[in-house]
Amino acid sequence: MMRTRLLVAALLSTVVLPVVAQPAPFDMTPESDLRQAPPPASAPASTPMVPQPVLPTRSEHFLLPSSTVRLAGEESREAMVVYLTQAQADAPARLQLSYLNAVVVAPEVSHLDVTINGTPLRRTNISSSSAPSAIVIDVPSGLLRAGANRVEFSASQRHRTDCTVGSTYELWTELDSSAALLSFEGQNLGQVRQLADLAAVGVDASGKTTIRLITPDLAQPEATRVAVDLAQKLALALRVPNLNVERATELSEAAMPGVLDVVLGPVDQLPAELAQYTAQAGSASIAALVPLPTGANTLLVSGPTWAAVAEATPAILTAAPVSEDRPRIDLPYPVPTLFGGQTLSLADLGVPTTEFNGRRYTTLFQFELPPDFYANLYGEAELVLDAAYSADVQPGSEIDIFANGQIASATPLLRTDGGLLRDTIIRFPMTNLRAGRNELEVVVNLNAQSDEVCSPGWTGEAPTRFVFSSSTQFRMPDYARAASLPNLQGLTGSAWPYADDQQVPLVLGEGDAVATAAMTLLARAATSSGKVLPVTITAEASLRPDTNAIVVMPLPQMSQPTLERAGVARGAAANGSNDEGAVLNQFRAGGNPSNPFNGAANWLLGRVGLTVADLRVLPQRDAPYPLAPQGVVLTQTMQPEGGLWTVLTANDETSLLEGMQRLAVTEQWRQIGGRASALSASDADVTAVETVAPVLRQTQPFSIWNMRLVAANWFSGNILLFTAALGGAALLLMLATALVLGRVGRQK
Amino acid sequence: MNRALTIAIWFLVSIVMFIIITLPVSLEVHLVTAVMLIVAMGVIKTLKLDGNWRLLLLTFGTIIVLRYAFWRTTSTLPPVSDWADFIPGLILYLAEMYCIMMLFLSLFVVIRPLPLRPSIRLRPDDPVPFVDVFIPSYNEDFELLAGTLAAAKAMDYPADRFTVWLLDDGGTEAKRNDVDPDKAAAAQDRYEQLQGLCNELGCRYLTRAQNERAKAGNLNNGLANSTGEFIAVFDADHAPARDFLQETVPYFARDSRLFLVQTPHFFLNPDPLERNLRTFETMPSENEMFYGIIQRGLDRWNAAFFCGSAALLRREALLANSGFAGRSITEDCETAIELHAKGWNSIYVDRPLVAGLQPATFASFIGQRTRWAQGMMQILIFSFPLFKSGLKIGQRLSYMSSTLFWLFPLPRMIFLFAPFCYLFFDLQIFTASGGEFAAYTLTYVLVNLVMQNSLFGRWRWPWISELYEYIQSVHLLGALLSVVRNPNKPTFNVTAKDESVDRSRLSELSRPFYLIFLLLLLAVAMTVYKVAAEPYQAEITMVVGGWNIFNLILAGCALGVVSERREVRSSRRVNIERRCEVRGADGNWVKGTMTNVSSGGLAIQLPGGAAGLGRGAPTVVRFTPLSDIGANELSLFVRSATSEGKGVVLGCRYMPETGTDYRLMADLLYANSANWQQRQRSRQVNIGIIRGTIQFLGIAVYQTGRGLGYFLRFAAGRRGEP
Repeated sequence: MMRTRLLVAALLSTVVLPVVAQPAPFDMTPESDLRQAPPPASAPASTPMVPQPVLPTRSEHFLLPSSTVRLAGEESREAMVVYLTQAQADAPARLQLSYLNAVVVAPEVSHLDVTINGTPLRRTNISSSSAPSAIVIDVPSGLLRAGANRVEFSASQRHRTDCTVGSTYELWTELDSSAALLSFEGQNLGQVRQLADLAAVGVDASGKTTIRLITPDLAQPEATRVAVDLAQKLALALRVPNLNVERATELSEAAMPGVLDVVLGPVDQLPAELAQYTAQAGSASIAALVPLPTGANTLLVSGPTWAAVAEATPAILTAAPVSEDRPRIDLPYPVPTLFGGQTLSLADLGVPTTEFNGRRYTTLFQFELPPDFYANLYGEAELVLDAAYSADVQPGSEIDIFANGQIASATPLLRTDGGLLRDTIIRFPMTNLRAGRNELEVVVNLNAQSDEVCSPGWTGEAPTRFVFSSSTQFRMPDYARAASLPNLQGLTGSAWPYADDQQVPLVLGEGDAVATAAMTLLARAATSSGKVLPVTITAEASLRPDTNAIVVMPLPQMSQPTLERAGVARGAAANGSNDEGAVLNQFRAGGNPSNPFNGAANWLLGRVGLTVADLRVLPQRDAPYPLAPQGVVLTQTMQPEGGLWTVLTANDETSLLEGMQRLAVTEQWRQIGGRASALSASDADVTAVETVAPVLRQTQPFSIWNMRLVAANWFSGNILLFTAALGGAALLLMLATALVLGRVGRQK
Repeated sequence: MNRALTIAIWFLVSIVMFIIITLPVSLEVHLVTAVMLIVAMGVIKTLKLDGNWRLLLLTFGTIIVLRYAFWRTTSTLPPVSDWADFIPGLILYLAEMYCIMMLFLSLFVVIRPLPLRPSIRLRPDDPVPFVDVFIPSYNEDFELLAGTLAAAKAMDYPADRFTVWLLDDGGTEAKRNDVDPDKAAAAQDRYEQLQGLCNELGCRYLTRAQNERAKAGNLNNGLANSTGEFIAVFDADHAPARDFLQETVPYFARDSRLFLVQTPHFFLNPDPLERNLRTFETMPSENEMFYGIIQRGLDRWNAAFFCGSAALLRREALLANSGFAGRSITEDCETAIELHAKGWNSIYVDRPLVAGLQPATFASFIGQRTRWAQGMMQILIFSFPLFKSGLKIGQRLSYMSSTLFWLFPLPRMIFLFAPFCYLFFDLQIFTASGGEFAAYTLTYVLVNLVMQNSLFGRWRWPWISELYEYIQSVHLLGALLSVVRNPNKPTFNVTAKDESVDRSRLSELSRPFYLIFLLLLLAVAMTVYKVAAEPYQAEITMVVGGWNIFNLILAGCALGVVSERREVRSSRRVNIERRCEVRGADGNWVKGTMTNVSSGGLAIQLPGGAAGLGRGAPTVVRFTPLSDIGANELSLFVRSATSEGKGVVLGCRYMPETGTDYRLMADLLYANSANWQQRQRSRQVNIGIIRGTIQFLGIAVYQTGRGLGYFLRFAAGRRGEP
């Protein structure tokens, strides 16, 4: 066992950057045991880059879909989906992980639970604040199954001394992705042999899945199209959130977790190692996982011609379709799409009924909204809370709802005599809801009488004071459906409108990196929407402004007309360098001349949550977004002719690809929005530029009811126009009334 | 453009408006819109723009009120499952919706009131119709009746074309043969005295066998015994001006389907509120809102109704309805609605042509209002105006407005006690955040004030309506409920008008007002406690506590109303300027000017000195009456003599002995209705919301103190009484 751990550690130390921000990335304490063990014959410590092509007797399967998993707060859980082959499921397996926790976590009352497929495996006290500790659990046979397995880590943490709500923010336990794994005993168990098992390729030690695309050349549009198409299909088949695409020229020399070699091309261009498949590929399309002596997972997609190669790709999604029982690895619980007028029980969203004796209870659930969700400005959703609390809980306790990380409502508990919250409706504005996947977090801050005393050990010993019932419901009212364009969240959340199109013209700049960036972008859009975008490679010159299109091209390659339509401007430096006044103006905050009236107006409006800009009447234009030197920018523009163009661009190929890869990481991907979203080389966060002059597009069959809601949302964004509409209607009504009064009743 | 088309257009525009109003836009949008509209309303109001601008102001107000109603309906009701919250919440909601409905009904009524009708005269070739003047009486005293009969007799109309009838229900056979010999003797006395008075004045005395059907029965008995084409009805305390018939009769010649010309009731004395709050001289009287604008508004929809007195009716129409209706205890309004339903018309002439008396004490005031409220409820129950066949739509809505108005005690009491639900019982009957409350409720309240002020501001100052409603509600609520329990039960109680408050005291109905005030004080204490003890809901507590404090201010002001000030009834004076001669101590006639008169006496200015007349001296004044009375000398008794420069002002009391004396007194008091109109006009000033509110606060603080002072002074004494 220790031997393999060392092997893995050695391998990883070269591949993976130390990501965990802890003093020691690994728990080194057991190494004294290790030294006493006979050194492994094939110990590759000295030559980690050249692993020997021996079939390993153990295979590791990393668990975490991201580089770290942080369990924060008093009750916290993180779940993920791990895909296994039948052979892996049948083999004896062990679950290993390594964790580190905050010093203030009280070990005697804090514990970490591991659950696989709903069966609790082990409860461990959380007591590793100085250095990471390892946990090794033998997985009972029969628990794992072929296909999707849900692994859940839940931490129950209590503060050592402090009974305040604030102290709960100091509680955390971190799991290290490079040490959280399932290891299987048996020969060559890492190898995936069937397309249906593609998702079992899994992730690497940092939670990423990479495809190494080995393809002769992408000069031909058809080749590029097939590659882009294949990347999307693989991303879906692998059930990953974010597919890392690499161009390679040679096959992997050894099997590596989370890496899939993809050999793509017509039969005459196959690498020598795959010569044995030429006959098969020469006669018909083929898409198959081929066993190689290295043990590396290798997908061969080939055929006599490019056309035949293209025909091979659908087999992948036929074998490994997107379906409910095959969730994305980072979305273990159902994420239903809400079209309005629905009520969901939180039990259906994977939230359990919880008894709680702490002071800050949190729970999180997710749902999806269609791309034409248009109720962010007026609408309110409802949480119908079912909960109970003990007499210890005081008024002033508070129920907060966070929508996509932003506070949406804070409801104090005004009465605590009843002990019961049954069907208690909490309304919250849908301001921060968006097209695509949404996260709602319910946080209950409990003020308990006994916490004010806070006797030693009370943090953990307090009796249950709050029960959150999973019969709590989330109600989504009927909401306005219309597309407000441009809106990049339509693309990032649902690949809309492209996923609904018959053909999506894709314009690519020159260079491999550009094509790779396009694959990364489209694969990411595919994993968000569950749909493959039907792209066709189009030359820039033949791009039509009346059709929806995607352009991936470095800025220097872009022709002037495209540039003008793309909503991007060459860098700020190029624009304003000779206009010092502009620079000075830009430097001044806001750019608005600040006079006393503005100040007073701003203060007054601020009191009611508005800004002067909310009261604008005149239509504004969306100015082109100036591209930063090393940054990447994704823009969307509505062409006057009717086409919606999405443009991914940067100043050069390299920053385009690197930027795109950083954008595709889920955290950044979810920050994309508005009409332009930029990520500069030095920033971690995406800068999203709101659309100030959106165009509304009808998406639903005409109905008065929907029009009414659309109008409500539109007016909520155009406040003074609502006032004007009412004023105008009032004027008409007044005139009509005057007319009627002149004809009805006595006149004198 | 034809009528149907304009109405269709109006409905179309209204639907568009309704759609925009019910858009579920965000809170911020509503707030900004409401503020802009309120500013626009303020500009219209400040610039005193009229005509279509006034309509625009009302439309803006309507928008905000409707948006409030929409929000209130869709977002603020507590969940049904929390029945302890829901039931009071629903009751409060219904009370608010009633108020909004009443706002729109009254908006409909007064949307564009008819302008003053010009005086018209009979054409030379029109026949002069015969008029029977009915003065029904039940228990009014001799002097009062003498004054009224004399005034009626003095009306400027050909003497052979009208008869004045005293319809005495106090001297019926049944009363004269009462089993109680004292009562029987009193009735017999009254019978004989009044008969004598009538003979002297040239009036007809009429009584009947039984007191059936109260006032309506009495009037019908008068109808059965007379033949005149028109019937004028005056309450015993309503003395008509000389020009009453001149101003009313000619309208009947213009419309053969006209059954009623109603004129306002004008009062010479203050009602208990005006007296106790000392607002009579400056503030428009309560009834002026009804007679000054609501009846004019009703007139537009041909729905001005009979108010029991100061009206002229057509016999033909009354007979078509078999006389005055008597099912309800407000026979006047009931008669009007029945005749309107039969296609007869009514008009309203906004010119005070009678001078009447208000009930003097708070108790009789409440008694009077109880009759009105109960009678209007009976009409609402017996002949629901909205569905009464024969009425036009405008009339239906108008009568709904007139009758439903009397439900006000319900919401008023609900608003009074609603804050207690939260303050004492922690119920959440109105689910809204502080922000929502500010954006919707505050703007609604403000708009309501602005609308009320721009509709009624000249006739009703801010918060006075609330005060009147509150002082009546406390006792009217039970009366209303008793009508609902048994609609036939209420009986006609004659309002006493001839009482006077000869010493300061607490009204016999004052106890509940002090109790409520105490409860409200407790609620204020609770507010303070809650703000301190429950900081997490201080925002809500302050909002509800503020509402409670408003109630407290109202209730404090009401304490002043039920603390009856001492006042002699006859002291209210009307300014006149008529030449006269006074007989001096030496028997010579001295020229002077009568400067003011009241029902008890008059003031005479003598420029040449007192002519030997001092306090306690009897004398006689001589003047030229406006109508032919046959005498011109009136006996007086000097009560005071005040030097004024070279001259002297004598304050004198009448010493009436004969009917002629009463006619001379009436000639002085009721000769000139223009005088009364001018007196009303001088009070009808819109003082605006801000000034009105400040003034009201001042009154409230002072009256709370006075009410509490009276309580300390008189409550102990009252306990000592048997």
